[in-house]
Amino acid sequence: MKPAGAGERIYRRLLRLFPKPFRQQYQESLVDAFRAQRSESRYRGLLGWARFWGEVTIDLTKTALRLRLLGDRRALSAPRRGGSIPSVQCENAGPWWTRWVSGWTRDFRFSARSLRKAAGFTAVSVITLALGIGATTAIFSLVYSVLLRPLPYDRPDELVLFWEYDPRYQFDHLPLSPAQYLDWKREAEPFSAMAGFRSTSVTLTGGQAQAERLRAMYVDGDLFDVLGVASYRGRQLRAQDCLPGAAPVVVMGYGLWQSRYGGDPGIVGSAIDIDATPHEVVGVLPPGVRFPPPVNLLGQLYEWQTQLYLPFVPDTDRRASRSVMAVARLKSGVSVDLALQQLQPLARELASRHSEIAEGVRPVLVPLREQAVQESRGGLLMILAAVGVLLLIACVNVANLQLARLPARTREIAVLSALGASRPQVLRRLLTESLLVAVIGSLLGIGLAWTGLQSLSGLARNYVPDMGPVQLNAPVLLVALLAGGLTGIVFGMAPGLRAMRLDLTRSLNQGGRSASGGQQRLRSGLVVAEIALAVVLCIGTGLLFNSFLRMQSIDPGFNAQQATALQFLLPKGRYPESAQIEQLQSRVLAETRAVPWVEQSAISSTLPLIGVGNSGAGHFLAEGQALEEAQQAQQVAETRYVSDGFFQVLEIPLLSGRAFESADLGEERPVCIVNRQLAERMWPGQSPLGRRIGISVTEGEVPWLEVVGVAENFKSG
Amino acid sequence: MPETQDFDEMLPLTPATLHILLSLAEGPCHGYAVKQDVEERTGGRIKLGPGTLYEGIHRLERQQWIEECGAPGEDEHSQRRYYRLSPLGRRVMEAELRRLDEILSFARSRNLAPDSEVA
Repeated sequence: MKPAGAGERIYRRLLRLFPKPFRQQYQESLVDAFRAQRSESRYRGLLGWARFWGEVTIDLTKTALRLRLLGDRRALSAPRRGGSIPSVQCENAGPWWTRWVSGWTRDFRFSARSLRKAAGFTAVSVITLALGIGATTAIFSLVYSVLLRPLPYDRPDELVLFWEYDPRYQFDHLPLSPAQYLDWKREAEPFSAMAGFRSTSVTLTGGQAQAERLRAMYVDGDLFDVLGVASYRGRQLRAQDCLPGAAPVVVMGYGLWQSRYGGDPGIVGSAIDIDATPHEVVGVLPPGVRFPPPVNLLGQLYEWQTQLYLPFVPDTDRRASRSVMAVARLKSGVSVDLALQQLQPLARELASRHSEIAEGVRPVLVPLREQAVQESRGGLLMILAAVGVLLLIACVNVANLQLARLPARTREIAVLSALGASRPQVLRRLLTESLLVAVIGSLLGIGLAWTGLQSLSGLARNYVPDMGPVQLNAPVLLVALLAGGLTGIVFGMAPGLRAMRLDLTRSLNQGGRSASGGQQRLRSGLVVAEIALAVVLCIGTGLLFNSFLRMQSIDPGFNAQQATALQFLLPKGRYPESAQIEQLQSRVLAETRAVPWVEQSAISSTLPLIGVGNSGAGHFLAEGQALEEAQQAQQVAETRYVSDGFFQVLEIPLLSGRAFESADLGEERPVCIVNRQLAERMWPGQSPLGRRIGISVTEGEVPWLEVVGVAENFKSG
Repeated sequence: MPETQDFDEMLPLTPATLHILLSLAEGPCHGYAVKQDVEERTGGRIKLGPGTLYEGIHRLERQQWIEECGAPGEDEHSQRRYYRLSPLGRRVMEAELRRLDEILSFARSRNLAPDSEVA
């Protein structure tokens, strides 16, 4: 037998609506009939699917209600269909609740009929409600799942990011040096565990797929223990993997596993080529788990889309370069402040042990949760507000629709009252009708939210491949349902409430054609509110769009139009010698320039606005300057390695001197081009041409470069 | 067993009930076959969803108009439940058909029924 599909499982659950004895007796037969009906040809396709479920739901609720409410009392004979205004008839005899139920059933039937008559009104009301509820919920659910999903780690409140403050840089989010990290990890008291990681990029090759440049993270073997994340397939990295000389292994993110390997379970244990070196895949992370999470560093969002996790082998004796980020888990009950206090003595001791540690360097702990969500909370609230306005507009629309019908309804109510309907009866009639619209609209809305969310998240998955499972946001759905439903019901009752103090004869005579002044004011008020809300939304959108345009129109100092960029990275395994790299680069230049429609081509270590140039560890100094002077003045400059043609391709003006030539390659003529800012700072009022500077100078011999040109400033990063 | 006059208390039957009885009158059937039979016979005008079908069967069983029986020969090992018309059910059905027939004959005699012009 075929395994039960999702539909059948849902149906089975729905069967609980039936009274227990009935269910026990007929459950299997019902499911059998359900299955057989599902396979009928007229239920094929999407429309068929909708029709099938519509019919099944109605069938089920109707019969379940009958069985529950009427028990076996109901005879098998036909209902006596009465006059045209059913609920005004005398109620059947019987206990109060049967009367109550049959009254409701009759009201229900009557409402259905009158709604069918006002098909236009019904359709618009239902669609407005459905759209309001559906769009609101779908959009918010998606944003919530992408931006504010809780951190996918065990007890995330205990996790802190470990940074250092260095007075020389006046910056308190500095990564650690490898040696410093190892010291902290070994000796820090307040942590139950600590793990380091370092960002890198790797090239993934092999298989049928294209070579891919991916963000990878070197991580400590116990990182996932610290985070409390179990692997989805295979195992996590272990401390042994990080020992020097261990076999190269890798753990893969769920997104990459899906996108490149189609979720092939055989991936674990197989080898993939990372930077031209085979690595054994030992595990896959669960969906939605990624480390580090997007982090807000001093107002900037850093989002490492980490896809591969490689064992991290810290270089034990390097204390100069800060390259290791660290995450630590606080021992239970230890607060961040307490932890910082406990770290003080160790910080002093480490500083006295190692002269490289500058005075005033101190550890900085930031709760991971704080750093991870700060950025998104503002945006999320904004979207919630926008979505709320959308929902309000939908509600106002529903209210307006009901009020527009009011004059006609007033007459109808007058007729009913004239025929002897009591006020509660009239109110009940109106309530049923509004409820019916609200329920249909809400059901459609839920469906819309669900399908909308599926397609939206499919779209989003193209950009965030390892997005965790997306769920309908229950609180927002509930609020949307309540708001939409209540508005419909309250305003649907309006004519009835008004009828409480109605002059029967007058409204019968008037034919209810004119709306009273009060309603007119209310309706105008609603329209005004609606326009105001729409304007608010428009302004918000406009502002967003405007800042986007402004961002686009910043003059970057270069002209990227007609320029096309291509990134290539050479795996170290295949290009060990720098001569090989130079050979490849000149071949790339020669061959691209041979393409007929290429005017000029150039190679740069990083592209402006895409990557920041390398600022290196040291300072730059002009010839004749002492290193201490440069250090004191904090002379740090970004450096880019560019080929000839670079300034031409990006149309960056050269103010004086010359551009690079291919003859500048090689060791014999160490030359450089500086920008206007540097020239003005170092040699104000003088020509920088022919002078020499050193870059990334830390100590000892300075590799001097001769300034051969000055270029206009351009925006770098 | 109720007396004949009791049947009049039970009549008229709902169309769905009558059609279920008609289907079972031709021999034992399982629930879904009844549904198909009814829908075919009425050209889809009467639709019996799973709930409606078994609610009807449930009531008919309680009234002892139909009863569960074993599966017939070729379908012996089927898990499905089979039902057949009880003698009481047959009499109710006949009473209802008689009632309808009386109405129809009356209508025909007055040229009121749709096909009476042919007659």
